[in-house]
Amino acid sequence: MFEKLKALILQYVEVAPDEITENARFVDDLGFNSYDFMSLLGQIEDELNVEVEEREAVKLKTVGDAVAYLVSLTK
Amino acid sequence: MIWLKPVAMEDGLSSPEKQMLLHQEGWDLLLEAFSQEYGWLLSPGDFEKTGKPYLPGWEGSFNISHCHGIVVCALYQNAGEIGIDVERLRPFHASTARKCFTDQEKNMLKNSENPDLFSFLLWTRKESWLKMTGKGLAFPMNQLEVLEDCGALFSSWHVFFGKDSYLISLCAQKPLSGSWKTEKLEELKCRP
Repeated sequence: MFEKLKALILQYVEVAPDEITENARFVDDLGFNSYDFMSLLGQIEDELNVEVEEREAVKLKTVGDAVAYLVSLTK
Repeated sequence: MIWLKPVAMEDGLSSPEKQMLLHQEGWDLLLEAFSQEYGWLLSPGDFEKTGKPYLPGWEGSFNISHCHGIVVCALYQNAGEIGIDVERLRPFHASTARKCFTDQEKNMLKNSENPDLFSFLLWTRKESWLKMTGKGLAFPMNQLEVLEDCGALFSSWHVFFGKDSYLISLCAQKPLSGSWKTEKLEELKCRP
């Protein structure tokens, strides 16, 4: 899941691939803005066939948070 | 009044560096706006930044937004709460429209002559409403109609700086008056 999410993240922000770690924060470390973040969520929903609720999504501060959440959705 | 400032984005800056630059430019623009409008020389430390930032003792509203190449801020008295959002016009993600637009908005988008412009009009209006209300991204955008009465007043503009154009939407609780302010007025073409 991490590698899949990493590939998606690289479509939205200009960072070196090795900067995308489990501890990387979407806003502070990767430079996501709200439009990019919501677009990422929309693409995740389409590609993983899951539904990401907004009130849960705003709790996802790091890549690791998102990986854990997406794993829980796809179980 | 709305203030705009183009920001040169140097090649080689990473996304976090760009965000930091735009954040700083946004605050600089706000301080300039207070200086020009009221003659107040403020510093960021004068503002309360817990939650939605405000200036203690001042009965007005301000809001800042930025995106690649531009920062904007709105500064109003007697408008109630306000929110502003700016986005650079570019191809809009279909998945974002699916997730964030209402059924009616999606239908209108299908018939739009300029889908990207229409999509960013909707997006910036929704984002400005979320900022005005303080609800943030936890609120499901696909439940928010911004082309009909949603208890707020919207103004939107399509502005041009250099080779890029931007959608700006302002959301307010009360009717607004005022004008644009920009450092390079000759470069600005405004389409209300």
